[in-house]
Amino acid sequence: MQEQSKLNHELEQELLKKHMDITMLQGQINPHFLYNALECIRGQALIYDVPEIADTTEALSKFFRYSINTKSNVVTLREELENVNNYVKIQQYRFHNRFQIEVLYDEQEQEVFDALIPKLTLQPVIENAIVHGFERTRKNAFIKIEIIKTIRHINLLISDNGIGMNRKKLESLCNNLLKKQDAENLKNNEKSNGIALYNINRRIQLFYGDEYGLTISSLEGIGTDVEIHFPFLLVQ
Amino acid sequence: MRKEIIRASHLRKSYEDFQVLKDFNMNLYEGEVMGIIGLHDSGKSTVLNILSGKEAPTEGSIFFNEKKADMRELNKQGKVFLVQKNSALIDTLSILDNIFVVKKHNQKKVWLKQGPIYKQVVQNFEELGISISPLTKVGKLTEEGHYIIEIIKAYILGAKVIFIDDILTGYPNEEYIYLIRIIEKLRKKGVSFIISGYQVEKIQMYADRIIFLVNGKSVKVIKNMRRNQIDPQKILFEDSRLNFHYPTEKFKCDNVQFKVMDLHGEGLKNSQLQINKGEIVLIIDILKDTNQLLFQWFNNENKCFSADIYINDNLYDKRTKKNSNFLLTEDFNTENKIVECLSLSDNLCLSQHKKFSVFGFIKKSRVQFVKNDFLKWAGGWGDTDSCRHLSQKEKINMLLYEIELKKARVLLCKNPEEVVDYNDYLLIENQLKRLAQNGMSIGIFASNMNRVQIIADSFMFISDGRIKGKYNMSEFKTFFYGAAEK
Repeated sequence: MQEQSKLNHELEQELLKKHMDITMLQGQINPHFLYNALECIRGQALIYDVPEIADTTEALSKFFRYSINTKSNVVTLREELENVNNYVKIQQYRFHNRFQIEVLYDEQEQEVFDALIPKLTLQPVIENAIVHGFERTRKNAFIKIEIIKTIRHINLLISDNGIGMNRKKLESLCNNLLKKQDAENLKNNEKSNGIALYNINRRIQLFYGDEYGLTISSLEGIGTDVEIHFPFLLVQ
Repeated sequence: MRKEIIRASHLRKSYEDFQVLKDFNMNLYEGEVMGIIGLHDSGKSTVLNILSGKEAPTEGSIFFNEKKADMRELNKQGKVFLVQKNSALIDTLSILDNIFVVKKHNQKKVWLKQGPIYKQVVQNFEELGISISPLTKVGKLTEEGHYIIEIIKAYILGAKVIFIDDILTGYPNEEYIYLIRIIEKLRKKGVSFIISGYQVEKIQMYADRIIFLVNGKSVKVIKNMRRNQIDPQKILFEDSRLNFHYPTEKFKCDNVQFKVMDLHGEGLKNSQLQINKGEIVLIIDILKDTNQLLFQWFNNENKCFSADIYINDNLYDKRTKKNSNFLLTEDFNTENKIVECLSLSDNLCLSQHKKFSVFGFIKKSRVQFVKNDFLKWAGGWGDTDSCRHLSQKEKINMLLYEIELKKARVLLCKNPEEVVDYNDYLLIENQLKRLAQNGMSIGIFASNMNRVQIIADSFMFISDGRIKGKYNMSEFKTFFYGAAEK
């Protein structure tokens, strides 16, 4: 029974990882072709002295490398934040620097950046904040990532001042987080923002335990908070 | 590095068929003050009861110092403490003795030296700037003083988290300041607080973060600095559903029996209240805070208001309670109103001791008469004279009979719908109708009204700092819809 449970656990982890990979690799793009093409664009941008294009292209290249790289499921918080930084750079270019992102942490707790976190935990949350929180509004977007280290855990609080969501939507999202979804549901709900959050929540739970994961709170017109709670573990 | 002292994860709580908490999540850091804001019945008290270990959740987990914890055990150890409206201090003992008794119990010793404890208490009082002597009898303290001492007592006995359940709404801001200073000093010593209420402007005076609790779910946590960006009424009322039954309009008797003039105080200015003989008036306050304070004031539980009260045009002094049978207040809370070790007849006569006794004695025949009268009145009581293990219905019956016996001219009561379950409510509803038919003026303080509006003759509203009305049913519909749509 225990072996069966362990096997189910591993299968579910694998399924979630695959789902993430598939989402990233949609369109069957050859990564090397992509990197090379982006490098060419970057080169041209530098020649023609357009640093914004060069920077954005570099960020895009790094973003894809990070996302597609299948070497490890777990990265450091530093690496994950670097990926978020690259993603935000791209969006800044797209939305004409409407976004401001701030990372708050205790400067005396530098080791927090070496903490392990499942790969692609933060970026989808930021993406949700931008896509669902700010895309349909003209106001300047502010996203704050607060890193709080406690004795044994890390609490990441991602807050935005976007359009937020109403009670029904919030309730539906929270209920989806709590329900275990099968492959069919994952496939059918691909376009829903809830699925990315479900994926993150479930991966954290499978990696660390059921008492960890995501909680969401939101107020329409004020913004959304996503808290990610996980244990503080360092690279061995 | 911050220390996370409490984490509540997906808490749910159900009572029989009713789910009070649906998905409550929060965390609290050491030395932090968290405010929980919610309307009446949003689940605030349930949250505090669960987190302080007085109740267990139906589902969900609680972590204390980042480890899964049994809050009941922590409550027993004094690590978490709940301060409620009904103070747990013993009035006849001094502050020191109140602390000493608990320490002795916790350490399970027969003999415990009071000297070192006294020294520690004096030192703690000095650190916190408390000028009251620890030898002061608790009974001499003001109500606010009770709460402050409860909080300090909890701290001295080792509490790491102190929960305060909605005790602060009764006080003007000046009295708050002293309490806030104590909280500030204690948080610097690493004590965390969770304080519940429904007034954002009061809670924001000391909370670092504020959770909005709506229908049993934690909807949003805001940092206090963002409080001005939100409209609490919009958050708290979004889910309000108002279902009305529309009875036919009732005939009003223009014979004012109860009059309150120049009523002013906390949340109210220059208001009046009038109830005719035989009339039932529903006094509605959706946010409940002023209503609750007003009822407590009539019940002599606070000093938040002042007014001239007339009963049949005679000035009534609420403080001295002269002619106290003229005005009766009732919250329909049966706890501590029936003495279990006494018989039924003794309990019934106890409430009317002044009326029935002659030189302190009540004749046996009178006792028997009261008992028989009650049994006839209540119907279906059974053969027992014992008051042990009475059902809620039986207790309500005794309470209602006592109201009947007192023959007061005016009854001011809480909305029974908000206090008792449906079956017991029907008992109370019938009795209120009967009392009104016999000429009693009845005022019901309500914040919601599904059924009680049916028995009301008139309606009054507390809105924008005044009591507005009286309205009949059709006027009430118009006014209430308008107010709800704001």
